[in-house]
Amino acid sequence: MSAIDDYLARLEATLRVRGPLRRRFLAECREHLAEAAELQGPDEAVQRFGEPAAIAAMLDAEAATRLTLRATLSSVAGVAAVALSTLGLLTASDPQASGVTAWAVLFFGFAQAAGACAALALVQAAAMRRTVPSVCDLALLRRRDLAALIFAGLTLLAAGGALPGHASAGMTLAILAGPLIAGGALLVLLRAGRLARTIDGPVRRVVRPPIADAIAALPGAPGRIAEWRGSAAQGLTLLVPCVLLAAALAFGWSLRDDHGTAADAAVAAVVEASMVLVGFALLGPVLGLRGGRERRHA
Amino acid sequence: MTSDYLRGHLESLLLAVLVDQPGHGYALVQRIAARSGGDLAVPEGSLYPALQRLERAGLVTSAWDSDGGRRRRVYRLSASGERRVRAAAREWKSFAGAVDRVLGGVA
Repeated sequence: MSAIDDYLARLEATLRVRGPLRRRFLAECREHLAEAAELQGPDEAVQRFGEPAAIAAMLDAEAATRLTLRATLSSVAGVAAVALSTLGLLTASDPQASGVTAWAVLFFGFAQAAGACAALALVQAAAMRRTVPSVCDLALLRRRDLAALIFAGLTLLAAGGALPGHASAGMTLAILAGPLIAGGALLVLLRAGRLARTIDGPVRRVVRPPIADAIAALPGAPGRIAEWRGSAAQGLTLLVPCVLLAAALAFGWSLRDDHGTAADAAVAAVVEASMVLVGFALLGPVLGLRGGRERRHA
Repeated sequence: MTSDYLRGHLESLLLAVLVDQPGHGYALVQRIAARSGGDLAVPEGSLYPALQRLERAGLVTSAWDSDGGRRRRVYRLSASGERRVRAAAREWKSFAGAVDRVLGGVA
């Protein structure tokens, strides 16, 4: 076995990524080493190429980034599919059935949480598309994806609990399609997580304000957005719940015609706003919207 | 120069040597070495993950090409890659000038 064959065998054995990216990378490495060997000799060519483990780790990191970004698109598609299934479920519900209030409140809460998580993930992915994200950023994106899928599933469950009914066989299949698509997205997400665990680096929770990500995702965004994001993070972190709270109050109030009286609309607005506040308090650290308490180790 | 210095600049160097003409991985290594007078020695294998990152970001495009019996992946700068490298060059000149004003005064 030549020095180049031996090197490529070690590189191949160390690589974790599978599929077209791996095949293309190995083909390029083979061509590069063959060309370099003609000029410098195989030993020098191999020595200049670098440690196989280090080179393989770099490609695995890039593959993990790509797979995580793809998992975000799959998750958003999964959430949209579950939303359509939920609409189907509501359509198939018994028109005479009266809604159970607790399930209805949960339904609205879960649906908004699913939408918010999917939006957070999508904006973060758009901002990360042009960068080399850290292990922490990738982990945050996967958490947002996972939260979106879980809340979408809970929304469907709560809709079924709130409005019971009987669907036709065709409608049942259509309703089941959403969870199936979400299940596929979950598999992509798990694969991305497995590959990302091979990347070196400390995993700690990070705060990524979505407004900063939205600005960074704009074409031609300033190159120093990362520095700006760091300095403005605190202000934007406070801005997000304030905007959400105002939107929640406005939404609840806008439904006063449905609620009958202004007092009922005010109650709905307060319930809506409370859900936003509780959601932000509980999920904020997990979703990278605010810093959590530092864990103390004895 | 150690690869630690280069780690944060590899992408910009690759974009810079693609400004005038497209090239495959090995040619890009040679261009970096030639332009730096041999002072910038990157582990050559690290080029390919870096090129993949640039491609994901839409800064370069690539396609297989056959030349003299060799099958090579040839990389080209995209319009956004060209804008990025010009911005990186401006930032680098400003940064290097500032560092030089501080370090340059040390005997």
